[in-house]
Amino acid sequence: MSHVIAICGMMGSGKSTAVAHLLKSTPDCVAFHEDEYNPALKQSIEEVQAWWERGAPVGEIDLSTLAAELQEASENFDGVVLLETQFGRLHPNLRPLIDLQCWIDVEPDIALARKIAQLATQFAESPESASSVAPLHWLAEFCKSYFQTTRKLFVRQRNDVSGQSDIVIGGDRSPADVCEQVRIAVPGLFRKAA
Amino acid sequence: MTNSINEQWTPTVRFPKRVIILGNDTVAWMTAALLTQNFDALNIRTTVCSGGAPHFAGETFTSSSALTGLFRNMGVDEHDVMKACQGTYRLGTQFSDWAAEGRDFWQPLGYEHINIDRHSLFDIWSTERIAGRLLRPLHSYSPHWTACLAGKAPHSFSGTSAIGDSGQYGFHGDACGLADWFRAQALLAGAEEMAGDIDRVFPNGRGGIAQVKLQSGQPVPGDFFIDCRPPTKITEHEFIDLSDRFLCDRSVTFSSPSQRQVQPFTRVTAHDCGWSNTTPLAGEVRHRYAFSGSLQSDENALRCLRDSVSSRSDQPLDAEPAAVFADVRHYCRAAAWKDNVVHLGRSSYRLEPLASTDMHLDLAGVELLLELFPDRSVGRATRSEFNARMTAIVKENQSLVQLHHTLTNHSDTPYRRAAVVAASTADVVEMQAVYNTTGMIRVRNPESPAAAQYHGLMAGCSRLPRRPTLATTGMDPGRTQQVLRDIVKQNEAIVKDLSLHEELLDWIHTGPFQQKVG
Repeated sequence: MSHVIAICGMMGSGKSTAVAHLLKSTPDCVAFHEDEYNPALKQSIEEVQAWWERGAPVGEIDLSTLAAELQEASENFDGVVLLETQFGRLHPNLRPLIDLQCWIDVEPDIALARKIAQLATQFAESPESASSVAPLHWLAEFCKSYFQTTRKLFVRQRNDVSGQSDIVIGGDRSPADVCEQVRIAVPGLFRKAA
Repeated sequence: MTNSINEQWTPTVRFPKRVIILGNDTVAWMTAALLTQNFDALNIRTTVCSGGAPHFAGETFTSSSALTGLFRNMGVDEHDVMKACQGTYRLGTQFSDWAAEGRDFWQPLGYEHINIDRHSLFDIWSTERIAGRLLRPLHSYSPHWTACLAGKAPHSFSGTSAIGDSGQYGFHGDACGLADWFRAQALLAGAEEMAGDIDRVFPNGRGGIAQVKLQSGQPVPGDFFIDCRPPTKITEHEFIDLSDRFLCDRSVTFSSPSQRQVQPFTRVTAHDCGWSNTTPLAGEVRHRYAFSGSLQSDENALRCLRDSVSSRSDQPLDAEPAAVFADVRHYCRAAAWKDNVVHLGRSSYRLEPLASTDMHLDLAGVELLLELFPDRSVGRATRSEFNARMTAIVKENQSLVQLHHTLTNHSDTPYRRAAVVAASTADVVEMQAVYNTTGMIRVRNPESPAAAQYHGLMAGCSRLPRRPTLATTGMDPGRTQQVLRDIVKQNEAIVKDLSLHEELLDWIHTGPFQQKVG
């Protein structure tokens, strides 16, 4: 029997780093990343805009595969199951599976700056993109979509997902500190790696 | 409560011929409506002296399922009531930053009705939690919580629903609107209204009232009086002051536009110098912050409330919202019934509305009065019974509110430290000691908040008893876990077919044929 802990936050809030940190420092711990299952991430900006104008119904996003795998892990794995997720309990398929939900809270401008820094570093470190302007075009599109849609999504996500969380952790702390806050919230659950 | 007066029954007891109700708030008009509807066969003339400006303008109410039960017993359509008071549905309360900063817990309605193999949900949950086999919070096993998260109403457009059928839901609304609705019901049922201000009250020499005189000079005599008016300078010596128990003596209130999603729950948030609540109404959201005026200025209090609201709002707030400040007093009477005068509502008590039990308490008082309605001699035994039961109910509600303050761990500020000390009376400390040892909470009155509400609060604030309840320790953990998982699945199934709260409200308040297309 396992416990499913959702780590939620806006893009750039540091949830991937926190999950990686917890995985590394905790035995008997597995992680699921919603991004790997989320078909909406492959949609164009226009499609996301249309979804937003329909009221951004989170239930429309098909996460049934993630839910099924999460369900199986929660029943058959004996340890902690971490779920890195944008939606958490806001998604009807994930809601019944999440035992505890943590929201990593950062201001939207910090989240955006972190994401741009991360993308820029990736481009700079990639030999193919270092001499190309394509990544710059991609970054420009990313920033444009931020003004049109992403910023509004951030605000809504911060209200809705954070409001459904059991614990809110300040994301301006170090990853180690964020993980420590999760550990404090569930004493005895995470056994530190030897 | 039903219309139980048998037409064949011949009264041998002489009931009061004329009942005078003093006041114009929800309790006054609720009492008038229930008296006239339930006792119409007794030919009691009911007069409401409703003079004076409403002392509750701009206030909201948050009800438990008791009000829903009342509407059902009265045979009225709840939609009509909701239309009159900008009503929305209420399935529970979210406490933010209460147990600690950044921690939330919920108090869903209907907790007391969740049982597993004759054991309460709390007993089962705490056994598993103490054994380290469970991470989910207690509230997450409530279908009401699931509905809150999904933004659902208790009813379905397409048919019946488990929550709707059970009646385990409440309402939010505008207090003036609800008073007006009860007023219309009372007048329709035969109550009469005298609108002039009360100039003078004439005592009857036995500690009761002989008659009141209106400012117009008109005397209004009666043989039984129900006083619902808040204290005045003249009457304040009759009350027990509770300002040493509840330290918030000022409040600020303002409204903001409706959110995209109308939340089917009340939100209570802890602050450094007080606490705030957010009440969603149809068309607007009302915010109230109760604070200690000696520790925070009005200006800072307004800023605190504004910051708190805007951090959770998906719409921009007015730069300077129309804020209303007020002094707040908390008090109760030692005896609510004296000779031929019974005091109800604000004339009897005022507690902090932190646990949303004020409407429940008002209703309990009115129902108790109807149960013990006196003959014309108003016997001492009846008075004593009413006073003993009402005092006990108010006391238990007071203890519940105080318990909230003792469990908060929001911040280490002078207000918080003082609030914990003020609320830690001997009965509250003893209650916690018994709970810590055995997990048991003893509630003495059926009209008081259920033990499940105390358990929800304790669990939400991470206070577990030292050992699980003995009755549940022998249960098979594997089966218990399976049952708990099944409850979660069942709750999702219950909630799936419920209407979205804002869609049902749109239908109720706009009308099915007047909704905006799209």
